[in-house]
Amino acid sequence: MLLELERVVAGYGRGGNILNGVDLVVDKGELVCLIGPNGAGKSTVLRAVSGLIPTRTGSIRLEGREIGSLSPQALLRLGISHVAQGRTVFPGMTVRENVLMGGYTIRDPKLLRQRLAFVEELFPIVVERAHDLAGNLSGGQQQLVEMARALMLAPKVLLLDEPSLGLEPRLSDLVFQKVRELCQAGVAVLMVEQNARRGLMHAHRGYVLELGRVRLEGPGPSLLDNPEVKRLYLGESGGS
Amino acid sequence: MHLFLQTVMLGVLIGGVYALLASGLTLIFGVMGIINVAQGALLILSCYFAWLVWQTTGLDPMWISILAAPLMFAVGWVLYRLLIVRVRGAHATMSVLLTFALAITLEGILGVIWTGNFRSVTPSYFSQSLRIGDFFFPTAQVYGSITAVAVLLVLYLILSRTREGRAIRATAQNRLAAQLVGVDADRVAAFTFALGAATAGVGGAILSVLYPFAPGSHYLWISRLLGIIVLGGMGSLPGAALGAVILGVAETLTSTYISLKWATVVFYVVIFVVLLVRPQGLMGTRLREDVQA
Amino acid sequence: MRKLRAGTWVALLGLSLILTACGGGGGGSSESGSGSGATSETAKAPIKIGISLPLTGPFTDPGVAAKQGYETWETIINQKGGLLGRPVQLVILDDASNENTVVADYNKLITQDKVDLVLGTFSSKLNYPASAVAEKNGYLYIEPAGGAPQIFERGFTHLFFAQQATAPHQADLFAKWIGSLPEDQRPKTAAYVTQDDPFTKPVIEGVKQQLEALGVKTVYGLEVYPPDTTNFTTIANALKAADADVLVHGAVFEDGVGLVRAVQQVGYNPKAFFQTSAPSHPEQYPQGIGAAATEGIFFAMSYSPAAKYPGNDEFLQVFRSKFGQDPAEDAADAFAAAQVLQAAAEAVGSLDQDKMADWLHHNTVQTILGPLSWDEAGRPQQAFLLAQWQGGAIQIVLPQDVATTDHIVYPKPAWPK
Repeated sequence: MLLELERVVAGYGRGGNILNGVDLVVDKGELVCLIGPNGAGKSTVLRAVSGLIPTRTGSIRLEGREIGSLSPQALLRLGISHVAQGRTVFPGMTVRENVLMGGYTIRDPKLLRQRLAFVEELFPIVVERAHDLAGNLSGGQQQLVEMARALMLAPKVLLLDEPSLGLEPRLSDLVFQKVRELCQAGVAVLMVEQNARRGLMHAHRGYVLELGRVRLEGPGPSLLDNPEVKRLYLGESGGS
Repeated sequence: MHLFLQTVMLGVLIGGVYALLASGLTLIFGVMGIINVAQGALLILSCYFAWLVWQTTGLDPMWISILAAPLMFAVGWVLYRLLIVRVRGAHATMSVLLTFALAITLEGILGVIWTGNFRSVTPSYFSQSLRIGDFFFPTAQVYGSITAVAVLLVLYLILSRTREGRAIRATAQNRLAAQLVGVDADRVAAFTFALGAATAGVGGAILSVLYPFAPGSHYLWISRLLGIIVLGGMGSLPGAALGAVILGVAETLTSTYISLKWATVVFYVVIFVVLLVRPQGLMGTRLREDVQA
Repeated sequence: MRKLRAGTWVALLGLSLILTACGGGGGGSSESGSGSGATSETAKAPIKIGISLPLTGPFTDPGVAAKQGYETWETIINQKGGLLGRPVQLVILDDASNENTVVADYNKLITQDKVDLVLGTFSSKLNYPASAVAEKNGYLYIEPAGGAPQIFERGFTHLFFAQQATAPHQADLFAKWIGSLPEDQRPKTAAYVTQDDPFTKPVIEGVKQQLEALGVKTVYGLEVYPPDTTNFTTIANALKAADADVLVHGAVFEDGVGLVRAVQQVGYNPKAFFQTSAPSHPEQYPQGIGAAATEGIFFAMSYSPAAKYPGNDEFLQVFRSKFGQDPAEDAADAFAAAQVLQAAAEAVGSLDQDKMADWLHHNTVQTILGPLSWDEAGRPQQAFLLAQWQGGAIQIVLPQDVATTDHIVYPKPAWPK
């Protein structure tokens, strides 16, 4: 397994635990979707993995190596990139500057150029809107720029927090299509999605999180058919 | 018409100096979310540095300002590591309290060492003017404005062309995202605070020629500088420059055409009106609570 | 019940500690409160004189100078066997330049410490409320500063200002000197500008009234600028446009320096230039405007070390040996206030506050500032010394009997290039 979480307990500052022992795994090239009600701890899982908050007990491993106590910078070097929830572009910088910021930790200019070329190929918008301020782009375009930025370090694991939030369907389809392309290229994607149906539809596997624990797990489409998931998250009555 | 032009030009000149003084304050707020009430005291500290060097060597204060920049950069770095770092992440009011305490402490130390007496730095040109046709320009203010423009230009180049500068801008625009791309927030904060202190270093050396100063002079300046950055938009460097020029011109126009009594008040009236229309200031962006880490 | 009582004890203990700590600022006075309130006239019991001064805060400099002046008087009088045969002990508190604290201080001195006498504090701002406390308690209040006209408009009977004149008359000798100039040399026009300050503004209003009475036409002002003004270039520009023969400026300090710099920058050269307060700082002023630029600038002073008034030599000698420097004007003013109190007590032969006040209303006291006498409201009836910067030093030019030179620089030379 590429990424493994085992009985992970975590929370913010001096506050109580948000995660109460989460177990999950993501493999290379796999798209895994986390769903669950508000406050279940979905985003917190991503923050614990990317090092924004420390793991209190339990273990997070990348390729078998314990990473639960590392800083965000160290995790970035090991290949974990995090695209946070909401619009997190740098609004006062151009699209190109935004994407280059993704390679902030790359000191070798040649490597930086290579990565930029790679990302530009994957995301044509980086070329088309290179000199526009990122803050002036539409929501979907900003989401693509954020993903492009996160890919500058050629991560092994990409953490996506609600990539389709506030996007019209056509644009969110585009975003999911890009996510799948990444998976095909071998990137492991762990994604939080508020829109459970859409998330599970695209995912290889899904986890249902509740009160900081994994309640259910299974292949994406089969979770979609689970009567409990249907009742709780898809707004359908269990009997249909 | 001549009087009007002369008045506006005088206002722009003094506004240039105000812009320099306000740049560090707005930078620190923009990047760190900290209102550095001690910025005025750092200015006065630099005034004393300029005064000491000028008295012992006779060096022109405009050159001293170049010495003061790295010195105050170091002072800022140390202050950050010792003090400011402890209120990182705390509510903004904590930073106000802490930096206010710092300001009073600096004032007290300066007072103990050099008493409460006013000091002045008076190079040969301090009371002279340059004349172009019918217009006059106080020499010290001209030098001050030129230095201000140079400092703002250097700041712009640092922010747009260097790696550290890009990290500062990224942190200012979205702290969480900056962390996620590998920016060391603590290092950026220390660098920013030090850079802000360095601008106070240059500003103080210039201020020492323009006005007499005493340890308590910082109150006057910090209130004025806070006004400037609120008007321009907290955290916006071009906003601070614009706000500063508006302050300068408002002062000179009011004292020429309306009344001296209103000269220092009118600026606050302008702030009041602008904030009614644009609560985020002239060039500010609305605070985005949703992306705060 | 027991618990409550214990709490009250702790509170009282804390309060008394705080009060003791406050009282400790007096320097030598440690014993307090033991007296039952009845001032026994034992021959050797010291006369306690309560004073609150701005020893910290914005008025620190005059406050500390006043403390030196008072202490010099204490030393001299105790060397001579004390006041009315009893030693004198000063109880000096620090009011931190704060109006509320100064009121609390004088209340404490009078009602708790039960001092025998009080002396005044510094600045009009602090003397205004402090004198009301003294008046309410029937204490004589002699203030070394506080010449703002409002202070004397409250019908107080125990208040006396121990300088030569109140603010509106500070520049009387300047106006008189202008009036004494021959018709063809006399300035024709004048400009008036002042900080919005309770002390400087009445001075400038007073000069304006007197010069207008002499037929000097007002061509600018009276313009008033706020205390936080730093930018004087536009004012100077307007002054240049008005181009008056006389410039009269009500300055505190940094604004005085600021305006002089600005009029130099615009190139406005008045024939005569009177400024309040700022020029009296013998070191900071020439540093601020440039030594050469001081030539010919007039100002008013209450005290000159060179003046040959009785007691001045002794004051200077003791002051220098105590503090190793020459007294500031504020120190001399405080000394003079104490001299006035001493004269009243000795004339009356007791510490009866009403009799002393009554005596001061009808007599003249010799001080190191010259003779002083008062009207019914405590306004002094004399004139300030007129001083002028000449050759980089301060000279007294009027009145003639204490003048240090008979030369007056007029017209004022152009600003140095």
